[in-house]
Amino acid sequence: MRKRFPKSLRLATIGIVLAVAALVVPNSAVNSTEAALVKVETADGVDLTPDVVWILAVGSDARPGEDMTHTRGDALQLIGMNTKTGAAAAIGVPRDSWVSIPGYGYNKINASLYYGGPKLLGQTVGNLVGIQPDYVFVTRFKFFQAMIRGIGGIDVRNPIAFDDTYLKPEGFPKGKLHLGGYDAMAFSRIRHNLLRGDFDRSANQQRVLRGIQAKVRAKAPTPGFIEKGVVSVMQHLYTDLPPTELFRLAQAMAHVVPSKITTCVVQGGIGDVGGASVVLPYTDQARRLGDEARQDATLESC
Amino acid sequence: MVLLAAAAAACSGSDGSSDSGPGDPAGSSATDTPVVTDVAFGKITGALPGAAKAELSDQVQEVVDGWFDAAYLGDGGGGGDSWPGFTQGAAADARADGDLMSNAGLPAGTEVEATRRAVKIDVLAVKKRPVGVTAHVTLKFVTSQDEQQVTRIGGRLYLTPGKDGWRVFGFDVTKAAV
Repeated sequence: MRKRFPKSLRLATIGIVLAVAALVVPNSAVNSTEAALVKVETADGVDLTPDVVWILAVGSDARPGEDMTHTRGDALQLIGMNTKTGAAAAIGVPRDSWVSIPGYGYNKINASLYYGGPKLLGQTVGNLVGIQPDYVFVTRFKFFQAMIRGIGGIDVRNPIAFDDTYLKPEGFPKGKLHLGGYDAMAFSRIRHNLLRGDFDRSANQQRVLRGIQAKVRAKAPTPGFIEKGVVSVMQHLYTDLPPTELFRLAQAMAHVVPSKITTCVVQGGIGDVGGASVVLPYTDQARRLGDEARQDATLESC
Repeated sequence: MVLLAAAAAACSGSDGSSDSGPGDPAGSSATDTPVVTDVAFGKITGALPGAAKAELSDQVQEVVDGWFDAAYLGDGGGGGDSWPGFTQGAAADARADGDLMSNAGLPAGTEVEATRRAVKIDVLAVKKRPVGVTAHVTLKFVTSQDEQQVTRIGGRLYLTPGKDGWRVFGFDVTKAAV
């Protein structure tokens, strides 16, 4: 993605780093003749077709022995990446959203994974938001934890303390947190003690996604990191993508600029259908988010 | 070779480079021997038989050399043919950063000589076949504009195989005076 930062900004950043380094490096380690690095410029880009790629990331609630592609989706995030600008957007969909599932009538949106697998779930979410995903990735709790462990954990900013009797009795404090595999899973799943339940949980999932992207971006220059990550994805995610395409997507993900990530959660009212609590999604908002982000993977407002 | 001799003098101390790239032995000797690309493997993820490794090494070197020669060491740096091993989209991205991804900014007629060229290859292999490569590249050169000044190109190229062979679909490259 060309022009990720204005070059002047990059140079200024490098200048700040050098200035800080000059302050912290002991004098004995500084040789004036080695301060000849006068200018460093950076160019980067990743070519994917199309320029804006949409992925539906699904966390399945499959228990051991169950087929994770035909259970219920616990986490639903529609993610767009713009390889030309480095922007990315995530639109979270509450799993209890009451929607029309093609061929199956109305039901909770996550039931479409059970009925028709990843393809039908992608179509159902696509119909709600107005963006049909190019790819659907499905993972399960255990695999998700393994992937987080594989990248050395992630950092998130938690806006409010919360806990869960079963998943995290000691709770997550407010502030910057480092999450290992289990904690990242728990942080993404807990909803009962969150003020706005499923909506806040979806926002927490987006905080985890930001943490994953930041970690991948930071470690991408490490020899073999991206390659190892692709193997982990192949082992731990359902995807029908060939490994070459996964490799390209992984490199594109590493080039997303954190400051250009925008996120929103589809809102809705709480209803009751046949005794079950459901979310009645604000379809106008869902479509507006889709319209905003479709072409450039950028959300102006939620 | 005058440029090489000047470069050897300029490179006689540490260049202060800290970029993690291919091996970067101290200094280059001023000889008449053309500088050839030093090719090595870094991390190989997955199994890759020896024959496939050798073939991959040749193919990646051909792409990297094609870029080095066309973009920095040839006559037409910055022109349409500076990125022969790049995909169409990646070449367009590179062209947008032409001063950096080539020597487009140099005045016509400027002589350029390489003092170091190297590539270290990280491989993703699936079912004993390479499916993705991160090529860590280093190119150092001097020009007749300033024979003491060594410029270093470093960073990563991302390649995947296609019907036309291995192609660069992405890059993360720095250009620095060292």
